[in-house]
Amino acid sequence: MRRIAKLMFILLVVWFSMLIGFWIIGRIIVPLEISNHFLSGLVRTTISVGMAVIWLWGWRKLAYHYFWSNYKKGKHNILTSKIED
Amino acid sequence: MIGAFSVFLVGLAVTFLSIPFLIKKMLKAGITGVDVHKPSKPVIPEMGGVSILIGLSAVATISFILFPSYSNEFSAFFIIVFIAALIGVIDDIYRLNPIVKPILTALASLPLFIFHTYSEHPILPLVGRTRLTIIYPLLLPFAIAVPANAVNMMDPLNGTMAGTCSIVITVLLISAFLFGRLDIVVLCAGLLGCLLAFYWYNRYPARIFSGDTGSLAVGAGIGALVVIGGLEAVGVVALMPQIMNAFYGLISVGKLYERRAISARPISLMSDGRLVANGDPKAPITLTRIVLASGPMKEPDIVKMLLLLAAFCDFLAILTTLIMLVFL
Repeated sequence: MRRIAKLMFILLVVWFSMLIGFWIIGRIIVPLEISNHFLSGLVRTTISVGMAVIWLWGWRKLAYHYFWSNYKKGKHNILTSKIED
Repeated sequence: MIGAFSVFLVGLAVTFLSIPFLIKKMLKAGITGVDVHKPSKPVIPEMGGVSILIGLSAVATISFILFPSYSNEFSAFFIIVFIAALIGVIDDIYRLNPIVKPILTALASLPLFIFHTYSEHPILPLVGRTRLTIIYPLLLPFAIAVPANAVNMMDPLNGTMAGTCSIVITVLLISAFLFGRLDIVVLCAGLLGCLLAFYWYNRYPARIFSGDTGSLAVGAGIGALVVIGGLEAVGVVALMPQIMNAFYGLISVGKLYERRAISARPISLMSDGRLVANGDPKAPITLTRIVLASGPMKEPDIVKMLLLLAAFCDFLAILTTLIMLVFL
C-alpha cells in the first residue's frame, strides 16, 4: 500500500495542476487581446501549448524521480542472479 | 434505464458464452501466445478480443431496436470500434509497424466526421463551455488514436486491460448519467457488459488474451464515448494510468516502439515466479516497472495495484465531473 500511496500522490498532483492549468487558460489566457486578431490567437495558442509541455515535463520528472530513487533503495541488487528471463 | 441494463446483460451473456467456444477454436487453429510472465510459460489463445466484438454485435442489434432515436451516435461508435478491431486483427496476424498502427487508428475517427457526432464546444472544469471551432476537429484523430494505443500498451499482465478499462467505462457511465446523456449510458453499459465477461476469463491466471484485436477496439471505443458524450476532461483523468504508461514508455525509449521488438524488457521474471523491474536505463519506464521499483512482486499483486491506481484516477474523474457540472 505504501508503494501505491506515493504513485497516487503523483497522480493527485498531476490532476490538480491540470485543473489549475485549465483555470489559467480559461480565465487569463483566452481573454488576452492584442491589437491584431491573428496575433492574439497565436499568442494564446503558444502560451497554452507551452503550459501543456511544462505540465508533461513536470509529470515525467516526478515519475522518473520516483522510479529511480525507489529502484536504488530496492532489493534488486541481491536478486539479479535469480533472474531467469 | 431498464433498456440500458438489458443492453448490459446482453453484452455480458453473449461474450461470456462465446469465450469457451473461441478458446477451443483458437487452440485448434494455433492462434496462441505464450504467457511469458509465468515460470511454466503456458500457451494461451491470443485473439480473445473477438469475443468482445461478438458481444458488441449483439449489443448493437439490441441498442438499435430499443433506442432508434440514437442511431447516429450508435452508428459512429460501433463503426469506430469495428475499424479499430480490424486494425487489431491485422496487427495480431501480420505485426504492423509502430508508426503505421497509430496512423491507421487515427483514421478510425472518420465516422465522427461522417455522422458529425461531436461538439466543438467542450466543457472544461473550472472554465465551463469553450468554443474550439477550428482546433477541436483537428484533435479528433488523436482522440481515437491516443486511447486506442494507450490501452493497447497497458496490457502487460493478466487482467490489466480488461480490469482497468472496466473501471474507466464505469466512470464514463456515471458521468454520462449525471450529464443526462442516455445514448452514452447505453453504449457504456453494453461495452462494460462485454468487458466484464472477458475479464472473468482474462484475470489471473488468464485463460485467454485479448490480443490487439480487443485492446485497440476497447481503447478506440473509450475514445469514441468520450468524444460523442462530450466527456473530454473526464476521459483524460480516467485514462491517466494508461496515458502515464504510454507517455513514459515513449519518452524513455525516445520513439514509437513495438513492445515485442524492444531488446531491454521493462520487467523480468525471477525463478520463484515473482516479477522484478529491469535496471537497464534503455528499458522503457512503464507503469508496471514503476510499481516494481521498490522490489519484486507476484503478478496478481501487481495487477491489484494497477487496478487500485485506476480506481483512484476514476475517483478523481468523478470529482472532475462534479466540478464540470458546477461550472456548466
